[in-house]
Amino acid sequence: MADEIELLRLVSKLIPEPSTDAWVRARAAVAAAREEELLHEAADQSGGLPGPARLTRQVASRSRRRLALGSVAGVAAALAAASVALVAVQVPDARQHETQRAITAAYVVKRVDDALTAAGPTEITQMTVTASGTVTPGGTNTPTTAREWSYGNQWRSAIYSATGHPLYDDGISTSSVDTVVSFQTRTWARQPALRRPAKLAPGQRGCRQAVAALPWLFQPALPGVSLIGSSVSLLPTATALRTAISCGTLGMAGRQRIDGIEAIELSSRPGSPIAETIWANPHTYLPVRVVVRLAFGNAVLQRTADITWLRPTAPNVARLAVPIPAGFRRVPFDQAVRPIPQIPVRTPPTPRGL
Amino acid sequence: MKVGRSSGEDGRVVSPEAFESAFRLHFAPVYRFIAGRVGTAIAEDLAAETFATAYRRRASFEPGRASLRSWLFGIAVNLVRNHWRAEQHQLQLDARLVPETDFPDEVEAADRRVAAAWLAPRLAAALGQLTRDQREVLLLHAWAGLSHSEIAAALQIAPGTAWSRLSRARAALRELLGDFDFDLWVFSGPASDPARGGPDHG
Repeated sequence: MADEIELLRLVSKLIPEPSTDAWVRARAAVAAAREEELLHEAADQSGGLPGPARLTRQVASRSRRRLALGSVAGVAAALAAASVALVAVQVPDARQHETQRAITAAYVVKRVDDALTAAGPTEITQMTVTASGTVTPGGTNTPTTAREWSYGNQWRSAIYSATGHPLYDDGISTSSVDTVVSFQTRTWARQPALRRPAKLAPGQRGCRQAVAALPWLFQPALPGVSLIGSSVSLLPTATALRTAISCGTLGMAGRQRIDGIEAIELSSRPGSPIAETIWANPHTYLPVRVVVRLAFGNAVLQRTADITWLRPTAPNVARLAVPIPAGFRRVPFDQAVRPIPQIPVRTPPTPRGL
Repeated sequence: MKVGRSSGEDGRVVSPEAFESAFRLHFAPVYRFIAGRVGTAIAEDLAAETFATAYRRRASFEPGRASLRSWLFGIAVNLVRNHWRAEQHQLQLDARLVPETDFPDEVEAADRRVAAAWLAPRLAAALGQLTRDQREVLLLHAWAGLSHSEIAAALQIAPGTAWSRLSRARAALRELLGDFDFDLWVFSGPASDPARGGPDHG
């Protein structure tokens, strides 16, 4: 005969398993608790520095209150502020070294975030994006490249084949007009843009947003897929990059020489729901190279973006305009776009490692 | 219930590796326990906070005094206590709604899910009329699968107290389900008014 406990157990089968979001959120909370603990240890070891140590505890306490509300976005800022107070701390052993690295990483991430915030409205983002990997398991691995520009609500992407021939040139003007040029069909088209530059609402950051944003970052360079003519909102590149670094799981990976500078390398830690590496200019803290890896089941895509930040001078702003080559024929928009399959708007892939 | 080993060699969870192992093994059960009580929206926050709290306090976990899962569920219970209004609201909602259920391929499993969906509102109404203490011990036993001694450890009460509290809670629930025929799995009388609420003053 059944009893009341068996009834309760039966009903409990209706309770759902945790979603990917729930796993990601919990991992981020534990990661934040871990970094908070490292911060405390560093503060305790500061000994003769009571002022900074007290400041560190206050900052960490504030970060814990934020965590209790489910947010981990403030931790990097808290750690960064604390790291300023802890510059005099000596770290002789490996554990302390790890502590210092965590603090330094949080500090650098905060500086990168600040730099992107400042650069967003004032500088043009110019990127050369290389996409490699296969869209489908067993598919062909044909790298494509794109040159992209982003400035305010303007945006342009010129896509090239593996052999370097131009395929498409697509852009949105300040007056929200979408222009696309197809070099394969020697045609061009223009219409009011369906896409709108998106804005990041307060609180729209963190692991969940970073995971969701990654498939759309550097989207036009995805082989065989494009957002041309779609209604998917676009984040300005600087804003998208801010989202990408907001997961709170970037750690210091070292230094690497890129374009003549010793760039600071930040990389996702093992177990992170996203896989990305960012190199930042040590003077401006603006990203100069970003590599993201996306896993769709067994298929893996990698995109590498080399980034240059340009002042909005007249010649630089002119790069955002899509020129119409002489002799090209104007066609209805869908005819210019048709050769490119449209990406379905769908839920981002389940992150690996959860 | 099968309990996997999830901690370090000494049973502790101090090292990041041991804690990661514990997280992987116990997160889903803890999340489901919380979600069953306060709903999935709040459960995401509380389950995350449960493990963040566990990480901060991991040095205080002593394997000789409690099992790892009882320690984790103890943290979860404390966090859920701060959301008793949400729990009461969830129970009142569950009492009014027949939950949607998908149907697995296996006939027996489908039957069980249909039965569960049919029973859920009446059980929710009954649970809502238990005291908080009664509900805690019942659900720690039925949903989390904790033994008497594990419940005692989770709630930091004496084992005898846990045993007697569980016995009284079971009796109370049984009385609230008074017209339920445990042989035929049917209610013989009219459904009680789930909106009536209960003496949730534990």
